[in-house]
Amino acid sequence: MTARPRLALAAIIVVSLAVLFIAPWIGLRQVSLADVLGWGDPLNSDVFWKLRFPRAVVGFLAGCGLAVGGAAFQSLFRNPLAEPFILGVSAGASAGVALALFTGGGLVLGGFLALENIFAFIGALLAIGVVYAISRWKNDTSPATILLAGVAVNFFFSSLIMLLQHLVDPHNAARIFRAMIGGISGAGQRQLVLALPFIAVGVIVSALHWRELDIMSFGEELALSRGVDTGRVRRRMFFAISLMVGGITALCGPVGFVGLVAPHISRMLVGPGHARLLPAAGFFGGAFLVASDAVARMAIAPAELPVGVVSALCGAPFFLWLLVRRERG
Amino acid sequence: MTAPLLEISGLSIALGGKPILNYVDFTMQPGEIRAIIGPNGAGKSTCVRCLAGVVAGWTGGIKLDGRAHADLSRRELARLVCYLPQIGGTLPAFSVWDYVSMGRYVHLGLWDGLGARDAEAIDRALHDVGIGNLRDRRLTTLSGGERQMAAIAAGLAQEARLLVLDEPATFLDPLRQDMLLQLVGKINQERGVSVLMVTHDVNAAMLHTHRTLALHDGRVVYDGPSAELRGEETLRRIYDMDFAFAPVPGGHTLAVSKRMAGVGVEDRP
Repeated sequence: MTARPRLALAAIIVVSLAVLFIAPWIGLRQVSLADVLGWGDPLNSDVFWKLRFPRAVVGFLAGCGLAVGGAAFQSLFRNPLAEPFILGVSAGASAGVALALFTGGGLVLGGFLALENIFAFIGALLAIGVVYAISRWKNDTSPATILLAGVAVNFFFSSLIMLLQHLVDPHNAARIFRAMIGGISGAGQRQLVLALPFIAVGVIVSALHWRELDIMSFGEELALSRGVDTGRVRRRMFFAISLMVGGITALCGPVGFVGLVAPHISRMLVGPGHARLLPAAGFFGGAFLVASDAVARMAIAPAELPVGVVSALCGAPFFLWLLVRRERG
Repeated sequence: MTAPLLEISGLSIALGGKPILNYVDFTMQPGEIRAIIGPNGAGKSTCVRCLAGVVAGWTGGIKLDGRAHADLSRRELARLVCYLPQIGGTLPAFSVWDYVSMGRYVHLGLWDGLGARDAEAIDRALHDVGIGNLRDRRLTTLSGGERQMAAIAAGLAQEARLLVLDEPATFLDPLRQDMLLQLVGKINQERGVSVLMVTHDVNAAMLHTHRTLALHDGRVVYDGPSAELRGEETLRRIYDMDFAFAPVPGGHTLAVSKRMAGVGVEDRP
């Protein structure tokens, strides 16, 4: 097409990377260029390279994954309000994490696969399975049906989490509570290694299906007539995105609205084609979460807010605005 | 005689417990234009949706180019049949060219970009449909008629052997209905594409298609040359109403409702 969407994509990538590399400089402890390059204060150097930078990268990857997942959901459900958090997928993953902590947790298989991840994946897959089954059964993917199904799934898993919190001893209840609030405060290189494979699977599987997502955004029947095996695409995508949202939720708790805000703004800038939309949303979402985390770190410093709180404070009004705009249109 | 392109035998389906099609049989030869007519709820759309593979759960036989429907993969099916559903609702804001390029999906592997051959097919489809000037317009800015033309262009770019249209004239004004019928004839002549068209327009079926299939309550009540539809008894059996026939310049005859023929607003009780 024209040069404008290509230019917009390039601009999004440049600005997002700038956010990623600027965020670690922000914090209570002033870090100088000399510190970063290793000529200055070794403590400052460690703060930059061992704390803030890995944390920014984790935030970036998590935001990227959630945004790509949101963009894919919006086309798969043909619904502009579809997003992992709103559809209850994050809640399902959280319930999985809570269950893993309830049963003891911390089990690490082969050095990098935690029980939390497995249970989070199962919870996410269950949530999306229920939402999809309801829309399929009612033969209706209108925003109302999907949102109501998401509300129900959210309530169910939230109640499950409360039940688990109620049943465990106070120590584990506190662990579950912390995991549910989320945040990337503890994120370091180990967490990065833990989450990377999950996010990579989700992003790569989505990227490989850009053409199918384009066609499926026109609806099931047209996609089938074009020769797209919609059932297979949907199964693969649900599986990969559940894996990804599970991994992200296990790492930083349920983070909402990144998957809504990033794809929408990206779509306005680069258009509906997924060849550009997926990378644009991914970079935008990454930068959005890094920026939210910077706000979370600084707003009530030296204490910290959970990043999910900041992203939801920005995202929820955006969601309402979309809802109102749709009702009018 | 060449092998039939489409052979349907004993096609039956019930949706939500209600029988929709009852042992429907018909055959299409390559190069044929065929209309499916019948009253509302006769099963016309369901019939074409079964063969297009968007409705499952039917019984009976559907063979395309001699191969059983069940043995065809989604991609193989899309190379043989291109079904254009009735379009409506909101469309994503793709450009017309991007939309038409999606018709090439079935010819592309996972790692293929659009090649010269694909670009040629897309441009030719836009040209044949007569919307080359709309190529950079967004779908969201098109009128109903332009959308329909873009949908047909995308179908042509797919280069399937059978084009299935479900009430393609629904949202079109009389001029564009004419253009659509001309286009169908042109596609058939120049590309040798067979066309199966669900329509409510008896006259379009009679004058612009080779053969017509009429359904009534899910059963075939007529299957023959379209020109032979003209006959009060035949049309009454299909539509449960009486038709009169009026000659028009050019030697053809049009069917009109007998009850409404010659009745104007001022003549009503």
